Amino acid sequence: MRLRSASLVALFLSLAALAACGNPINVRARQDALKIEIAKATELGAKDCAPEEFAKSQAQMDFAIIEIEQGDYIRAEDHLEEGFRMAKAAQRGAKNCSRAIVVKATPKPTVVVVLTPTPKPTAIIILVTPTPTPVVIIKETPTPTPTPATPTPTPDVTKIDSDGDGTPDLQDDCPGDVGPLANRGCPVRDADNDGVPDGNDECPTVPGFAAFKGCPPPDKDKDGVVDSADNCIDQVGPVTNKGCPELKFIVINKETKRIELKQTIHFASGKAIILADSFGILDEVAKVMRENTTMEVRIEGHTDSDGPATANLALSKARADSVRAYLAKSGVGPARMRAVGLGETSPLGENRTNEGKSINRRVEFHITKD
Amino acid sequence: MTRSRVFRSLALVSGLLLLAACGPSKSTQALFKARNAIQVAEVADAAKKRPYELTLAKEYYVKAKEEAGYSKFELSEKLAKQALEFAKVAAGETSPVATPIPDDESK
Repeated sequence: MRLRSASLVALFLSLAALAACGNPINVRARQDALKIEIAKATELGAKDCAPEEFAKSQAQMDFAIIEIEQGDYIRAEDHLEEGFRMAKAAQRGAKNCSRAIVVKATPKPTVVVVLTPTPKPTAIIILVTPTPTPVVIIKETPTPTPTPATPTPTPDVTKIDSDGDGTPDLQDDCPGDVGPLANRGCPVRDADNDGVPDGNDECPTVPGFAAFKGCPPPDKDKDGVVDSADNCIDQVGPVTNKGCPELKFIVINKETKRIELKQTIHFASGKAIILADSFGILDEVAKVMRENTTMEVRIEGHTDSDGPATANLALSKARADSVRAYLAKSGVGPARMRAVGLGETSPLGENRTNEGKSINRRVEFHITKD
Repeated sequence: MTRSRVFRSLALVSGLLLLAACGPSKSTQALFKARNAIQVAEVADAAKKRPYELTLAKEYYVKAKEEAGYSKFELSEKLAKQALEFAKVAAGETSPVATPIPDDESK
């Protein structure tokens, strides 16, 4: 007996829980009912008379559709309830509002005959005169009209919603396709599935970002590194090198405006003769300068402090000249390069140690024009 | 678990976190734009001139914020964008995308 009552309680609780989760069938039925209420409000002219309430009811309907699509029937019900409240308020507002019928004046008077769907045919004739200000005259005639005698009830066009998307056909630009009211009843199309609707997407077939109007970010050299992150927007280069060409011996540092060398240029001891093991470095510098035709550089020669300063100055100048000559021979216009010798005046390391001296014996490339 | 495995897992989690961080920022940006557009519409006297569109804009904005609160950032962004469109129409910046419905001719 105890087991039986426990089972009954469990069953009751399960049913209660199921009811609390929102019943899809009930929600759909209420959605249809709200559609009818909104259509009634539309018919009463609520859009003009109670625009706020009318807009709210339509928005709530849209949100309910969204929630149903998401499978959240409880939230859908909340929206439907609010939608009902607003639709009713809109209807009340419309009933209290005298609807102004504005008929545009036409050059020739026109006659419009409207049949009311009552058992006895009654015709309302609306005469429109071509005066500067539109005038509406309404006459009621109890006699039958010459138009077809049997007054078949005309369907209420304001209620028709062919695709059942909640947007009446009158307001639905796509009556055959399901779409939210916000999009005038048309489905929101997004061919490239990038979250930017095709209507706002300047690249509808290429996934992109809203910030770029649905297009991918600009990448001038098409190297896969977007321009904003590309240090060399005109040259193909990997992302690991910030979009710049991968160079073996040098790095173009646009922040410090330097062509940085990964290896030192070697010269014959005490002379300005470039050793063959440094040709590769200079060839790479020449290549970059040939590709960047506007680039201009200052070639600086530096020495350590061994020996007389004047001799060091002369040697550094000679070495800078030597580098300039090599680059000129490799196809770089001499006018784009200026060679200066700074001797031992700008040391980077300690001149007391061999290591420091080695650092101080160097050639630097400073970019003076990009 | 080896150390490299731990690092790999950490890298994966970091990547996923970074990806997840994109959603909120886009949604926030869209919400910000929508709110600004609604303010512009209000200044342009949309409450009197185009109350229907202004109300739709506000409703969509509120719903977009609500969805963001539920971490449904993609949906929030879409709703916020729609709010922006309505607000633009309300402000008279743009005309409705589609052809006007018959009632609009009287305006």
